[in-house]
Order: sequence, then structure tokens, then C-alpha cells
Amino acid sequence: MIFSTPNLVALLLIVFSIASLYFLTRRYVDRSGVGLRNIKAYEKLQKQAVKAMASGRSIHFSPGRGSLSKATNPTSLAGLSGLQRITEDASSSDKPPLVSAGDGTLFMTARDVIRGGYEHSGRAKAYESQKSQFIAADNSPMAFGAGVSDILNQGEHGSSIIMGHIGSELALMAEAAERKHQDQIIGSDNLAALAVAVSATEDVLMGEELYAAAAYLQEEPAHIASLQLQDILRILVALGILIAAIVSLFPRT
Amino acid sequence: MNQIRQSLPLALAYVFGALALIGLLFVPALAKTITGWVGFLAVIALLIGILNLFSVHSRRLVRGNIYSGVLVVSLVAMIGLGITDFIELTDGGVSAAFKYVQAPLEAAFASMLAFFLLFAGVRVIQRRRSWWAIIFITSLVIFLLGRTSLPGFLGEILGTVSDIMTLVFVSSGMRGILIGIALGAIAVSIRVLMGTDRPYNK
Repeated sequence: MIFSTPNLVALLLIVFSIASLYFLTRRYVDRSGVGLRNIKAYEKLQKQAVKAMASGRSIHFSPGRGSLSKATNPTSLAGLSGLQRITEDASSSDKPPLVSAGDGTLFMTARDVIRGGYEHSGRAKAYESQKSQFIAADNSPMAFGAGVSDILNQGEHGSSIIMGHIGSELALMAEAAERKHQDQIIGSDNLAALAVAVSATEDVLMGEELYAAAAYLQEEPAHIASLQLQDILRILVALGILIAAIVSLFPRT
Repeated sequence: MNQIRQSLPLALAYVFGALALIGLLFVPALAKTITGWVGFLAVIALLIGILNLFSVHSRRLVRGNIYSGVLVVSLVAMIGLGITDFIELTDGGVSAAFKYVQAPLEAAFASMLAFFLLFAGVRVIQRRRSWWAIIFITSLVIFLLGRTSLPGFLGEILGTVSDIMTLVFVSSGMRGILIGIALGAIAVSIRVLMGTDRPYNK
């Protein structure tokens, strides 16, 4: 019972992934300037803080409403990588970003990330706890959408960045941001949200691109190695699908 | 002291990450216990979130924001209903508020999404003159017409094209995106388990 096939496959996958990530990370430690393909949304995200300082309008950032205590955890962590970069860049300005979260655990962690960003830039005293807001619980998507729309409708923000688990309620936020002529960068793990995002902005982080946030924004060896791990796993999945398709062509005896 | 402050969360994360993994794979009772603790912490986090919501909107109410006033009054009323339900002064007050206020409001918002999407589609035509926008709009028109009951040959052709688009292009695209999401989630999870990503210890 302990060594059931799914458990064994999962264990092998985890061991393989940990070993690969360890060796790939060591390979990248001494190398600098690793070439990553251009993702327009990340290029734009890196310029948002400067743009906010120049325009005098702050950034709104939402890591979505994915709980850190549920399966949405990796998506929310990817969103928090984006928040960390934005906070570090914008904390030195007089226009700190406003963060809206749709889950208690995510709200608490986002606050911690913001505080860390201020400490990192040596401006710990400038941190304002009111700049991170809890909007609604993760099981009330429309309440979350309406709450974030209200923030965007106030028109204090020059851009709206949404990176995390979010559903079709994104349409409410995208419409509010559009009405106030705000730049939008949207990344999600939800297909309905991605469909909405594509019609709202050209800067969409589609699926796996969202999980590459740390590699593009923090550029540490482990993050770049994890992108290569994803490529290796993708090749294995593709081979698996191909082999399964070929096998299914032959009749079973 | 600072080193303990940095190391303790990391050590706890390692230990509980490993324990949860062992529990999920081999000892379900252990996983259930840890999940229970996590659930309790999530409730505490939710309470802190609600306090933040109350604090933010109270300040906005003082500045004269009427909508924040409605939110504060609703929040207090719901907490009051919860208490009166608990001491059996009222019966099913919270569920009635959800049924007659929250659910219809959420349904109304959900029905508005269709209009927002329509406006977004129109804006795509107006602003973006790229090949992707043309493919997006063409697919949308074919799909919508294919799902209506157009008479005769045209209806058959558009219906077949729409089915092919759904079964071949949309399904394969969706699966591709979902596989990418799954692999990305695995990579992030492994990084957290190895301690290279530490959102709890910035």
C-alpha cells in the first residue's frame, strides 16, 4: 500500500527534480549573463517603478487570491516574486505600490515581502502597512474583483499588475484599469482569466511564463536552473505522450 | 540573534516541508494533522485580513467615502448576526444574509462579465492591428456563428469549422498551457522545498 504506483512515480519525480535542480544550480553559479528569451511583460514590469516615479502615479499590484495553504501555492509564490521586485524598485520613491490580496495567508506574506523590500533598500521606516490591503476571502471571487476594481477606479495608479491565481473576475479589474488608462500586466494560471487577459492587454504572462518570474526578475542561479528543469520535464512529458500515442496505435492482444 | 531570526523560519520550513511530503506520500494521518494546523493558521490569517479591511475602510469612511461606510456597516452587521446565531437569539441569520444579499450580488457581477468581455473584444479590434488580433477576432466570429443555428449549408460549414477549432486547436492549446502550468508549479515547489525560494524569510 505504501509503495503504490502513483506514490512511487511522485517520489521518483521529486527525487529526480531535486537532484537535477541541485546540479543545474551548481552549473550556473559561476556563470553570468545567461541568455533568456525576451518576455515583453517582464521587460515592461522592470520599467514600471521608474515610470511611476516619472508620472507621479503609483503602481497597483495584486498577487491574486490563491491561498498559500492550498494547491494554488506555487502560483501565488510566483506572483510574490513579481511583488518583491516591484517593491525593491519602488520603495525608494515617494509613490509606494499598493497591494491587494484576496486571501488571508497571501495578504500576510505579501505584507512581509513589502516590508522586506523596504528593509532591503534601507528605508524600513518608510513602510506603510496601509499600502497592503486584504480585499475578500478566496471563495468570493466577485467580491474580490469588485474590491480591486474600486481601488483601480480611484485613478491614483498609473499601472495595474496582476500576477497570481485569479479567475474570470479579472474582467472587472481589466475594465476598471482600461477606463483609467492604466498600463496592465497580467499573469495567471487560470484559462478563463488568460482568455480575459489576452483581450485586455498585450502584456500577458501565459501559464508557465508566470512561474519564470523569479528567473527573469531576480536572476539567481537556482531560478535559472529551475527554468532548465522545466525544459527537461517538458521533453520527458512530450516523449511520454509520443510513446503513449505510438503504443495506442497497436492493437492490444 | 539576527542569525536565529533568519535560520529559524528556514529550519521550520525544511522540517515541515519534508514532514508534509512524507505524510502525503506514505503516512496520510501525518499529512492530515499538518493540514489541520495549516487550516487553523489560515483562519488566523483571514481574521488579520478582516481587521485590515475594517481599518482601511474606517479611515476611508472618515474621509467621507460612502461606499466604505456601507462596507463597515455590513461587516459589523454580519459579525453581529454571527454572534446572535451563536447565542441562538436568531436562527440562520448569516446563511440568510448570504442567500439574499451576497449570492444575488455575486450573480449580478458574474452576468456583467459577458458585457465587459464584449467591450474588451471591441477594443481589440479598434486598437491592435496585428495578425494575432485578426486571428483572435476571426476565431471569435467563426465560433459564435458556428454555435448559432444558421440555415442550410453555411450553418453546417461554420458548425464543422467551429467543432474542429474547439476539438483540435483549443483543446491542444489548453492542454499545452496546463502542462506548462503543472511543470512550472513543480519547479517552484521544488525550489521552496530546497530553500532557494524563501518568501517567508525576506
